[in-house]
This record gives sequence, C-alpha cells and structure tokens, in this order.
Amino acid sequence: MIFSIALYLSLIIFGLGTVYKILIWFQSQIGGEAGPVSLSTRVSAAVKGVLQTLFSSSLGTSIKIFFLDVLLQRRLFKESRLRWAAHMSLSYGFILLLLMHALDRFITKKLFAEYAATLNPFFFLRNLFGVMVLFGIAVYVYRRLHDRVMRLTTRGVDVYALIVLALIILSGFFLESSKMVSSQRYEEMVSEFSSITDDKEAAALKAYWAKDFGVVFPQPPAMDSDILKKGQEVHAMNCISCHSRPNSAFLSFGLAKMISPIGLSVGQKGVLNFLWYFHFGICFLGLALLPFSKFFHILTSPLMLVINGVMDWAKASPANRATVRAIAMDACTHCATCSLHCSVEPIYREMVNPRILPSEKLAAFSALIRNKEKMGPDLPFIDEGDAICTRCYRCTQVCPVGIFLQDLWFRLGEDLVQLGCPGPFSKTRKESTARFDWDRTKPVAPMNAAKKQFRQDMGLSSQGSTFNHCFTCMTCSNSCPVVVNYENPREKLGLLPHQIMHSLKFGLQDKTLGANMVWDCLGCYNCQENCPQGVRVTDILFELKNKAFQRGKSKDSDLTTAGGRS
Amino acid sequence: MKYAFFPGCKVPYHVPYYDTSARLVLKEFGIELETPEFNCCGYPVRFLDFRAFLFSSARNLALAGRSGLPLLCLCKCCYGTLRYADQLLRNNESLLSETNHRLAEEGLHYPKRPVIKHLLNALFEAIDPETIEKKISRPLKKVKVAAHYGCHILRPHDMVDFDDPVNPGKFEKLVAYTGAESVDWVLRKQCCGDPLWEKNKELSMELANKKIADARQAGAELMCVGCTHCQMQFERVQAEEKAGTEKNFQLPPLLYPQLLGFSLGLDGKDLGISLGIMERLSD
Repeated sequence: MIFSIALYLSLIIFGLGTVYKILIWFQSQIGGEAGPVSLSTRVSAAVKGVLQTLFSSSLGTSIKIFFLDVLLQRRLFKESRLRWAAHMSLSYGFILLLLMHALDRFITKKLFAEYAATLNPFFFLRNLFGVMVLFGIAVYVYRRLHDRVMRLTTRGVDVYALIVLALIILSGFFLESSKMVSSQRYEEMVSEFSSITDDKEAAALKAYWAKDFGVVFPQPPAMDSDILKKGQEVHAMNCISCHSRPNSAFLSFGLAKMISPIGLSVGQKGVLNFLWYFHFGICFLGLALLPFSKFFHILTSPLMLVINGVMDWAKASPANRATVRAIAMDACTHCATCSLHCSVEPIYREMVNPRILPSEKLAAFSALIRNKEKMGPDLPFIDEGDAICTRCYRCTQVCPVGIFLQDLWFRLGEDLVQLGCPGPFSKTRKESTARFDWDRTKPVAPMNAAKKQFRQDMGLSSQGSTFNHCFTCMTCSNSCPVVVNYENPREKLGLLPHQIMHSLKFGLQDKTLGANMVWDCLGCYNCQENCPQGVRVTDILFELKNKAFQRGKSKDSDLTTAGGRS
Repeated sequence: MKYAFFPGCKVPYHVPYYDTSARLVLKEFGIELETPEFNCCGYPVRFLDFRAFLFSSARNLALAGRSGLPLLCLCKCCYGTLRYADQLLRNNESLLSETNHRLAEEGLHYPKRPVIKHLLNALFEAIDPETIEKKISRPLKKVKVAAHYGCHILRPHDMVDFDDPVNPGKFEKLVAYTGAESVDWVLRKQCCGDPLWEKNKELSMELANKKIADARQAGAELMCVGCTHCQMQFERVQAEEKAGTEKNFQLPPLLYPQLLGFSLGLDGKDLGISLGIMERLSD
C-alpha cells in the first residue's frame, strides 16, 4: 500500500516536474534576437523543426548520433577512456537493474516464467549490475576528490547525485545481505513455502542453510555430514526451484559473511523492513526529484546530442534557437569537461574567480536567466568571467552532450551589457578617469608616504621602475599612433606618454591611472621601441592598468591622501 | 623540422582558415606539427593581472618544453606575449622560482631555453630562396599586396626576434616569393587597431581605416597579414563600413599562408580563400 502510494506520488511529481521543465524551455528567452515570441509560435516552430528532421536525410543522422553518441557515448570515449568506462558501467548497470530488478513484475516475470529474484542468472546479475554502478560511482568520487578542477567545481548537485545513487545501490546490497543472514526471514519462508512437517527435516534444512546459505540462527544447529546431506535433500525438494546458491550474489554474500557476527540483530524483521523502506524510498525520491537534479540529463542529454547533430544553427529560426538554448541549460550534466579543457583555466588559478570556468559560468548564466534581481552580488564576477573568456571554442568542441556553448557565451555577453555590466576594462577605466583632475589651479600636494609608496610599487614586470630614466624628450609621445591620431591629443588623452612617465616620478596616482592615454594605449610598443633611455613605456602603461584594476578590486581603494592634486 | 603548434584562442572559431592554410603550407615545406593542449597565452589579461598573464604564458612554454619542441605561433599577439614572458622569467630569478613553484603543482617546470617562433619566422627559415621559384606553380605576378607587419613581431625588438624594427624587409621578401608585388606604404609597421576594438571602437576603426587608405593609395589590392587579430580587425572593420560582403571590401585581408599556399598551387578552397579574392589572385 505505502509502496504503491509512494510510487504513484513520485511518478506524479516526476511527471509534473518534467512538464514544468519543458514549459520553461518554450518560455525562456535566451538571446533576444527575435524579441518576445509567443508560446504557440515557439511550440509550432519546434514541431516544424522536428517534422523537418523526421522527413529528411537528417533522420539518418539522428539515428546515427543516437547510436554512437547516446548509446555508445562516443564523445565521452574520445574525452577519456576511464570516464567512458565508468559512465557506461554506471548507466548500463543502472538501466539493467531498473529493468530486470525494479520492474521485475512487469518485465522479467513476463519474459521468464521461472523468474525468482534469488535464482540464477538473476541472482548473480543483480549483483553484477550493482557492482557496475558502484564502479562508476567510485571513479566519479575519485575524480571529484582527486582532480583539482573537479574538486573546485563540485557543487551540491553533484554530491546529491552521487549520494542518491550510492544509497540506492548500497541499501540494496545491505538489504540483500541482511535477508541472507536473517533467521526470522528463513522461518517465514519455510512456513510459507515448504511442505516440511518433520522436525528432523526442519533441523537438517536449518543446518544446511546455516552452512551454505549463511543464515545466522539464535541457536546454531547441530551439523554433521549426515544432517547436512539430509538437509541438502530437503533443500532440493523444497527450496531449490527458487534459490540458487548465494555465492552467485558475490557481493551480497560476502557482505553477509562479514555481518554474520551481528547477524541476529541485523536479521530482525524490523531491520529488514527499515532497509526495504529505505531502499525504495530513496529510489522514489530520486525519481520524484529527477527533473530538478542532474539525473534529468538522462532525458535531456540524448535530446541535446541529437539536436546538436542535426540542427543548422545559422538557418534555424530565432524561436528554435531560444528553445534549444533553454534545453542546453538542462542538458548540462555539470561534468566539468569544459572547465578541464578551458583555455583560461590557468588564469582562474591566479584570479580565483570561479565564474572564469565555463561550467561555473554556465550555472551562473542559468541562474541569471531564472532570476536577474537575485544575481546582484555575483554579477561583477560573472562579468569578469565573461570578459576573460577568449571564445576559443574549445568547450563547445569537448562538451560530451554537445552543447553549443560558444553561442551561449555570446548571449551571456549581450545580457551582461543589458544589465549594465561593461566588463572590467570599461568599468575600471570609468572609475579611474573619473578621478582624473583637470584643475591646474589647485596647489600640488607635496610628496607624501602614499605617493612614495605608489612610485615604489611600480615594477610588477620588474621594469616598471624604468620611468626614472625618463628625461622627457617626448619621443614616446611623438611615435604613438594614438597621439598622432588626434589634432588635440592632450584634450582627448589627458596626459601624453612622456607626461605619464614624468608624473610617475612624483607618484601622481590619480593623474596617471586616470589619463585616457593609459586606457587608449594599443600596446603596439612604438613608444618603448623608440625611447632613447630604455624606459619600458608600454609595459608601464600595462602596469598602470593593472594597478587601477587592483585598486578597483580592493575595498579600501583610496590609497591617496586627501587634499590637493595627487 | 617539427614544432609544437600554438594556434591561439581566436583561431578555431573566428579564423579557422588560418589554421588550415598554415598546416597545408607547412606541410609543403616538410614541417611537422604536434598539438599539445595549450592554454591562452595570457595576452588578453595583461591589462588586468600581470601574474595571471605571466603564469598563462609560462605554462604554455612549460608544455612545449615537455614535448621538447620549439613552439610555433600563428598569432603575433600570442607570439609577442610568450616572448615577453620568457624574457621576464629568464631575467628575474624570483619570478622564475615562483612560477616554477606553481608549475610544479602539475608536474611541469619552466624549460631552460624555450624556442618560440612565429609562422613567418618558421617559413622564412624553411624556404630556400634559391629553389622556391621552382615550387611556385602559380606565381601571382599581377597582384599588388600591402604587407602588414603587425606590432608584436617587430616590437619591442629586444623581446621578439624577426626583423629590424625600423626598416624591416623580411615580410616583403616572403611576399615576393609568391610572385606578388609588395607596395611601399607608410603605415606598414603600424598597429591595426585591434586591441581597442572592444574598448574604444571609434579609435580602433579610425586606425584601421587609415591603414587601409594608405595601402590603397600605394596601389595595393590586398592586405597581406600574418596575425589572427590583424586579420579579424581588417575583416570586421571593412564589413562594418560597408555593411556587406567581402566583395565590397576596399582592401580584402589575406593571411600569408593563404597567399603562399595559392601560389604553391594548393586549392584555394582548402586554403579558405573566398571566391572574390580567388578571382583577384587568378586574374
């Protein structure tokens, strides 16, 4: 009764959750190319797209993709043999357990008239499939603990998935082994299924089961070869049609041996019931929450792979593109393959902003779409991550589920602009140039500790301090293509390169960081190349931008003292 | 000769034909490529974070070092950045030991003397001026080309190593091998404006357009480039100006391996040369 209620309840939640998710696919607006499109237009565009695929040569392609990429998981195979083996083992182990074991009433029993859970090959296979799943879990846990990138990208969703899977399988194994040692269960079975009336026969069977089947009795039955022989005969008469030898269930039987010292306690009816409820409870929990967990990829990843294989992105309607982008958000398994290969991952190591890593940026983007208001504090990090991404395309190429990540990054960039996030360059430029003081009538503040400090700190590249050699010959300014581009460069650029070099000698922070020249520098090295004094002019301008950026990052940004020009 | 191939981030999606044409041409000269999984050179974060830039570069050089091969860049910004980082590291012990410490976390170490070359270096060394004429099956006799150097292969000359920064001539020589004529133009060594594309678009466009006008005035029909960023810049600036197709481009940019490959008789389509430019080359 409870079983059925729980099953139907979790099926209903699963169904509703899936419908809800699909509705979101057709409503979410990622990429505003077409503006808001009605739900019906979106659905009809999708139906049209699917029909077009079904009645064209793309059908063959989709079948091929389904076979190679979904069933055989080719993309994962290319990525890593170990991960492929683990995922194949886990997914097929689980699917087979589901079909053969969980749905035995509907499938296995129908196919095999003599089916009994404790009969071979089912007895053995259930253990084998369980071990396959455990192997997959073990590899995944190992990766998440051992690999640096995996460790730092592991989040609640990943832990939840691994824990749920592990609990399902382990509770199954414990349930089976507890049943094996349980004398109460044994007595129940004997009274229900055997035709034994004779006490001697009963004692013989007990002895036989205690020895070969691992049942732990309160009073260990007497055993000698005659009794056991007799027991074997009774077993053959009564039990053998449903019970294969337990060592076929190799893991459960091993466990049963291990727990046999406490066999009497764990074999109690209450314990068995608890384990049984726990086992199916966790299964139903997993089922009910499937659309909201990363297990949803079981449905979305195959869909994504096929779409990715047949969809011509350039020709697809904006409505369909938006829908596919929304599916992509759900298809991401958060496997972090993208982050493992990310071109700017080494930059992450120095700048320590997780939003630099594609897997984490995608999660943030997904959250951003769901709720723009809530993202406030995270926005600068997403903005920085987006700016640092070089759009190198590698994440798209390696994604095991075929998400067109490159497109999503372009859309994220657009969204950020709309949200008033101009990227760290423009932001820092704005902050810095706002502090540039044009007023020449104010007295110059005398040299102070802060200015000295600023001047001293120049030299990140170990060459910053070369400004000291500047004798203001203006060669740098005259050879600068940006300076030359303007009729009145000082008005546009604030300070020219030679003036910046000179200002540095006086530790003028706001002046040097705030000059437009610093921010309009091309980095073309004409100035540095031509400097007769070997001043690293271009490198210094790079360093000033670094300084401004660091200043923007640190909370106590005001390093200069108040009063006068600095 | 074998190199560790460093295509750079912008190539795979934005300029994939640079990769294909470079590979095809290098093969013609018996140059083999190995492709370790490199990371970003660090150039895009130089303005943001010196350490992030330096570590990115160092890691690439350590990866190349592990393969025991000289590194071959397509992009001049990558080239300049890697050379710069190498100079810094070799001349600064504390930076080097700090970097090595970080590299050691993944079992890497900074190589003693990393060799970093740009595609143009490699080709210049691989091409034998005596025999190249025989290999050129489709000399581009009537084509007038503006050879655009690109900043980071020339400057700062103490960091990079290709040609004389004041009066370079190697790129023109490379162009001459194809049979094409290099025009003499004033702004050949100047920046294309790319670094400011997303930062100050107006200025970026102005600088590029100046160059295009100057090269046109000198009689050029094509701009020959050897850098991913320059190629992107000349493409998009003209696409934006004309709001149209390459046919309207005043001065279509062409990557050097495309030009050389075409003159070597390779299929223009394989080299990623557009039909419009192919017509001009075949005239």
